[in-house]
Amino acid sequence: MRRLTDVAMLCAPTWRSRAYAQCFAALDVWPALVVYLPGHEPDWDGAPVVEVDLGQTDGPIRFQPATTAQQVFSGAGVETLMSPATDINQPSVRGLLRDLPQPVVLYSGPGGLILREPTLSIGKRYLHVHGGYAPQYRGSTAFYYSILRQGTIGATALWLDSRIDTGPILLRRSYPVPKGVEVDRVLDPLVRSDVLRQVLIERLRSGGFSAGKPSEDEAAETFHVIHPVLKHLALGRCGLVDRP
Amino acid sequence: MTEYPYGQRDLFAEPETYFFAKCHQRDYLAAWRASRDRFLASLVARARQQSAICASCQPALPGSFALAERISVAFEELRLGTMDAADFASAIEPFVVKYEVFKRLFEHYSADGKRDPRSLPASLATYVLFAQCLAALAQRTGSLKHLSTLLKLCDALASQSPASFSAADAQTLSNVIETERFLVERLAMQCAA
Repeated sequence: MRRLTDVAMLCAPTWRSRAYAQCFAALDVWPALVVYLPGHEPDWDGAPVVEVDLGQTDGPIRFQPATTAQQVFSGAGVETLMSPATDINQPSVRGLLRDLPQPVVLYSGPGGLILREPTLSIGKRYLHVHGGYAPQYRGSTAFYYSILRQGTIGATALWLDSRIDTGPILLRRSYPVPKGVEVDRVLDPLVRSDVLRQVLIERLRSGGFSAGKPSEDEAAETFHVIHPVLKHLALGRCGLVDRP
Repeated sequence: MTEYPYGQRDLFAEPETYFFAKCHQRDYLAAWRASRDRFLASLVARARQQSAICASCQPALPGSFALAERISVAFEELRLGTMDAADFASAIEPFVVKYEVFKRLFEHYSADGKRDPRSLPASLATYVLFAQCLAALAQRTGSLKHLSTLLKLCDALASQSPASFSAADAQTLSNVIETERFLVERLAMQCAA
């Protein structure tokens, strides 16, 4: 078991946090501390184990969507704190983050919330894995647009800055979309966690995080939540529209 | 039979976020088409009527610009070919962002892009013009981002009573809805290929 002494994780009760926690477990590498954001854990109603082949050399990813991040981290004995609020921009949460000894915060906040100033400027670096291949696919539900355009789903590890998905890029990957894998609850979290896995492996190899490369604005596009009619067409490309 | 779920309430008064929408049903697209068909029929009927509704917007506010004027000038330049699609997209981008974030627009904005506190909410005439801009851009460039915003705006416009549109706006909006349909069908065919 290895601890990343420079890393704390900000952890909302989401599918993404579950995928990240299981990514740490698969590597047997753990953040020094996890800060839980209050909220309701979503209920899983599917198979207990989902295997997704993203083309990795070490075989498909095994994901247990019903297993919460708290269950995984507590099983590994990771130190934890409870945030006083869900809103990461509140002064109480900011104060808690400022006082952490870890300089890097892995961000896995609730959907729709954006980390803003002055929380961005408290001397921490926020590592975020965006659900889209940046800079071509920035913004919300960007992966649905790449599914529609190219039949691919991507993710980008970047350092957060004051704009949306424009921070320096550590690593990005694009994957052909596997058929029949639920996107919101499984595929997007797993694609992000696979990019996180590669960032963590590089962190272990080099002993530190890369500063990242600037994200060029040329050819960049920032998307907004996709309309359900377009999402329906994207789901069709993923083999996820109900059959007769 | 699936019911298209965004036609049940006034979406300007109670905006829709579209987060985690459930749209996996096989007949979802058919439900959307049927909903738009009903709206289109009511618009066509409205466009044939004499209209007492004034399409004009709030009078000028000193120190601010009128949204309708700003985007209609850009749209005219696009149509005349004196502005290309990329520049047109840049010109309307601040309002695309505002509509996506706040789900509504206003008649007047100050030079720094913030809404003038004296401004009224955008009129339906201004929203129809904005929809026309989005449709033209999505058609010329194939932009899925603008098509997505257009679909949301058309949901909101379809949630209004047809009688609240002027006859001219009803006619314009009918054309926008036809374009929206064409763009979605084209994309559906590309996805099926």
